[in-house]
Amino acid sequence: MSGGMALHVDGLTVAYGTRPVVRALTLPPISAGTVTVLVGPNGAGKSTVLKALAQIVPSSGTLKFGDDDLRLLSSRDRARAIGFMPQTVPPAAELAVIESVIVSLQAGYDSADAEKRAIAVLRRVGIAELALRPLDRLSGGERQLVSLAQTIALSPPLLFLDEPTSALDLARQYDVMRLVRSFAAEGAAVVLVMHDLTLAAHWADSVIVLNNGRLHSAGVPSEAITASMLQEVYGASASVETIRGRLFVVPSDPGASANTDERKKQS
Amino acid sequence: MQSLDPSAAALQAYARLKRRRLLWIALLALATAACFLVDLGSGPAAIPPLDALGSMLGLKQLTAAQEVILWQLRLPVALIAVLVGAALSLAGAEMQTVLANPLAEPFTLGVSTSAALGAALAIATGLGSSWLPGSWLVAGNAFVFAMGSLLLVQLLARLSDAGAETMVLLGIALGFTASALLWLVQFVASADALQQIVFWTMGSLARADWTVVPIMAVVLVVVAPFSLASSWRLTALRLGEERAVSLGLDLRRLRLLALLRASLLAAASVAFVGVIGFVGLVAPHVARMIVGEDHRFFLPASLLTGALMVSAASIASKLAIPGITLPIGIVTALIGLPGFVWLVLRRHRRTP
Repeated sequence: MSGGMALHVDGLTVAYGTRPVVRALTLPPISAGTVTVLVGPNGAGKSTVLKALAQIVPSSGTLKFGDDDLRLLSSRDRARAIGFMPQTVPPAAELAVIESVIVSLQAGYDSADAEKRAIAVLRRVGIAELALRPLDRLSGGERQLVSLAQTIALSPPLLFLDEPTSALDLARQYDVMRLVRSFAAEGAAVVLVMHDLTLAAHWADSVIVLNNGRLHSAGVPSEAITASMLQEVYGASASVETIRGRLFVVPSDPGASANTDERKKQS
Repeated sequence: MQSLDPSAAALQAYARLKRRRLLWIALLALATAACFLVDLGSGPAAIPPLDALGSMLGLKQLTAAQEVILWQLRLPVALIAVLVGAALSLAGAEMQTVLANPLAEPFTLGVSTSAALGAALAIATGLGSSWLPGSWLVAGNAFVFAMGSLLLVQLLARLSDAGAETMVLLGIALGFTASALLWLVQFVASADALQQIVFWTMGSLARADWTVVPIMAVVLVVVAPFSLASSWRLTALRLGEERAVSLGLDLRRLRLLALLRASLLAAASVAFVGVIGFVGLVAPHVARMIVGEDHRFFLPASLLTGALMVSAASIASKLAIPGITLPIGIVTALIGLPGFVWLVLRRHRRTP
């Protein structure tokens, strides 16, 4: 499927001020046509890595896609090559949804059919009926879908999505993950940051585990998401079960709340 | 035939929305033109607006006295009202976008108090930028101080690598410093100079004459196309900073240039007619309510709402107390304040 193109990240270092958040991080090659999920505890540097890959924050180290040095792209070419979806949903502007997508198209594309393309993108994300609605009259979930539409507007071959499903209900989460798979099927290299390990395991081709700004482990979901990793990286005691051939992360301790209920009954 | 292609339907719906926005802009332009004509006609020795129009088009002969009143007194004032209103509103619109702050206005970064300080120094001491001809001393000094304050804020922001919020805070600090110095000048000034300073800061369109109007027009005509040319970048900035950067925008450059344009417009306005408050804050909000925030529509609409507001205020300043023309700054503040309160309340109602 993939034409052998891959994203190469070598010696990536990001510092906020003088404090290094990510130190000399080298990732396994991320192939075009695959979905990779970055996981790790809060503060592990997942979002920072994603922003560095999208060049939203300054960083040092090698960033290459195939033979192209991503750092040498013009800002216009970069907008066409890289789609970045921020963790925060777009602010409440008095801007129609379709206008916000047209603007995203204008960044790398200025042909007259921007309006047509914008509508095609909205239909693909399943929010064409919101086209004329102002952003400040959307729910958080709807705004997240608009943000996704802005991200994929230029059909970039590299997609970096920071928690794209965090504000969505269950059905919409699956819709978005299905979309993510279809971007990969069309040849994009997709990198996601996600907290839901079960969801990640279902949809990802590979999982990269970060801890303290360093690579902990990487591999296919069944290799990367293990009880020992959860204990080591998250300090969480949980087991990884396989049900109908799929991975589920299950807390080993059925939860403190159940215990408190029992204690209440006893007293 | 039974079902229209949904994409085509959506395209048509968007085309209707755009038409509605353009129609609003046309209506604003018409209302501004009407206000301009009424402004020409109103005041002591009223001239019917249509006669004024006829005279300007060379279709109607007015009496000699009416000709003088129209051409030497009314026209410069009516023109400067429209120009300054447009300039302040455009400046306010850009400031609100690049500072991501709905309360930003052209004078947010301390431009107006700095200009007032410059004017006060010129009035009180007769010193200032001595290379300017005498009659231009006050306006010139006000302009130099206004631009100086902007450069100072830019420099401080650059040195500390600050974002929009820090810039606003620096501007406020600079504004307070300038007003403290202004008080100091007022404290040591002679009674006569003090009266002039106070009067200057109130803002008056009556300072307009046929040298001021063309300069203001040139400033606006030179600056506005640059604003309009960056409209998609400004719209993109409304999608959030990270989105804007990922779309390839250089935020620093975008901010610097927008602030430069806004300050140029504000400094020129304040130098020629003094401080006219609230227009730069309220007029962009009105424009945003009418046409939304796609800057292709928002910026032209802001130009017009500002022009309309000051033109209307100019009429009100002449009609409020017969025989007396109130300083324009007082009128815009009195009209603008309730408008502003209404905006704030409306905002709260809509936020869930």
